[in-house]
Amino acid sequence: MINADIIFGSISSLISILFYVVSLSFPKGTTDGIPGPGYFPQLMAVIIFVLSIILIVSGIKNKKRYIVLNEKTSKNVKPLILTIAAMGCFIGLWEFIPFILGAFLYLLILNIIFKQKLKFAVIFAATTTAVIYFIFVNIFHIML
Amino acid sequence: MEWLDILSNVLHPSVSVYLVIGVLVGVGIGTLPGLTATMAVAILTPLTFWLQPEQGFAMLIGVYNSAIFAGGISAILINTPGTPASIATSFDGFAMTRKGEVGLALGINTIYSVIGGLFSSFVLIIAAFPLARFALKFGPAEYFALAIFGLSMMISVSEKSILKGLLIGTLGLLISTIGLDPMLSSPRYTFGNIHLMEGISFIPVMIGLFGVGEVLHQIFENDQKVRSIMADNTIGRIFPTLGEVKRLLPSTALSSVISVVTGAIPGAGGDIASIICWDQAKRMSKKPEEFGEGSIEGLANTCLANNGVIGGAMTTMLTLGIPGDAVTAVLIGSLMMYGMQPGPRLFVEHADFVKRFMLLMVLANIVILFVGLLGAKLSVKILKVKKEIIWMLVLLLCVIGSYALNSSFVDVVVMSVAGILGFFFRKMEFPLGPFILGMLLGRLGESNLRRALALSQGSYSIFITKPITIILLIAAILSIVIPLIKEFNKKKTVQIH
Repeated sequence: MINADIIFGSISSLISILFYVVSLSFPKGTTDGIPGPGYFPQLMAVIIFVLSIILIVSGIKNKKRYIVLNEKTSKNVKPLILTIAAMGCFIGLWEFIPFILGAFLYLLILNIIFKQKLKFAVIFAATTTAVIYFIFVNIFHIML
Repeated sequence: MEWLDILSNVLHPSVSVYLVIGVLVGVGIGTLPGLTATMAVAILTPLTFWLQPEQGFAMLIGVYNSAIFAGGISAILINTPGTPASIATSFDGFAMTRKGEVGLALGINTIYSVIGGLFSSFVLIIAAFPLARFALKFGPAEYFALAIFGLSMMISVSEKSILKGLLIGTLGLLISTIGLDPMLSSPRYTFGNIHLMEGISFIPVMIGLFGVGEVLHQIFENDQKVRSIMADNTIGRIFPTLGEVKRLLPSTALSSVISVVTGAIPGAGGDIASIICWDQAKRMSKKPEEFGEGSIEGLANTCLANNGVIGGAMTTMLTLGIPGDAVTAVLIGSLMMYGMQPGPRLFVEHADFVKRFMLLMVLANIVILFVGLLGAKLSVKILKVKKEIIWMLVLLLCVIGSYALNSSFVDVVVMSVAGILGFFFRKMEFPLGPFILGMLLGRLGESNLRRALALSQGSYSIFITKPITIILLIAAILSIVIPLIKEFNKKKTVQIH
């Protein structure tokens, strides 16, 4: 299994290369030595690249596993993924369904993921959505 | 406006009611383990956007102060610190609970947290204006050096790995370059997207990292076991006796000073201060053997230190614009949301607001005193709220809060991405503090570096010819080198053994 440090180091080094390459198209600094818009990001990109390589090397040496699935956490992978998926669906449908319906369904699904009783889930989702909708729309005047 | 006018202004129900709400919310959040003051301030910041600055900050200051105080409640009752600043509170607090002195432990937590908070607030009132007047002399070179000094704190807030702290902090700096260039206003990394012209908004990132990220982490680490809450609600006496107060006086007086100074040092927060104060109280005590076994001296000093750092951290944050810890970093974002940039100019351009801010700190502690003492019995019941309900509320409020700030769907996406990253950062032991520092101080550092070089016509000597710049840069170098030497010595000791 590939070490997480190696994965993160690889991603951050790729990001640094991307930012560096893009910054080459920025306006140049003046002839009297005042740096242009690309100077700071280039400097940061170089530092990130160097640190990423060090992280990759230390990842190869250490081989530490950060996400360990034991008796306790293995049961929690499913609710974790489902929670992220539910949030993704809620945000994905944000512009297609009314907020009040989306928020109600989001809370209802979260209740089911967290194994709450159905009666409680419906009451909690409906009440919370109504209260939040009222506060934001009527008090804060935000169009949800 | 004079102080008395400002006092009557903040005492007006239109402001004070928000302070009371903030304190109550903070008590709820601080008491529940895992919900931090940083998370509370991050989530509440966009919700206060529609209020007047003094109303919004009444709420945020109330939440900040009370969440830190309330972190001690769960440390005392169930041996689980509600916030990281309360780690040392559990040393003696929980031992007192086991001895049946719950009420006294909760009473001491309230009284000494308030004493620490009030003392540090008065230090803020006395020290901030002279310090800001001094900082007004700062030009671009000094500001750049100040930003470097702030950024050097990346090391001290790096927790387990300095390498990871530096890497994630520099990533924060790189992200701060997205948007219009601060000098020439030419777009950088916007890829033609109009939403990226103003850069990556700080608040949704904070909400994601500290709200969603924390909840996802808790879901993954969730232990199905039921929390061991006390079966009965009998708590006994709350107030310490006069003899006990006299015994506590010398050590708590010293702890007041230590905690304010510790708070003023960027990177050193309540967790460090409370451990230092607990240790010094043990050295001063006539009964050091009681420490860790339910000593009221140990408890009082740690409780005092938790809230004692706030005034110090606020002094650094308001006068220099340097965040002392994660909460003050979020508060800088909150001030920016209201169009105010922390730093010496804040004391000139918004002097009245600064005075209100300071008086709200004092009032927040007074409200905490009443809420803490009157609600000691009730606080036991807060711990009975199901964690799943808190998770659901936080997840929904994070989405709405990030959207509400600018009515921007892009902010919601940024928040959710930051939330998922926040989970992985926690799992992979990447400290969040340096990332925040990078995002916050990147623009300050970059724009002043280039301004200073424009003034000196490209000569870097401008940074080594001004006394303030030299002092700040030396301080920055020391704060980088000292932790590195400590880390090196630690590794060496481990290798020898």
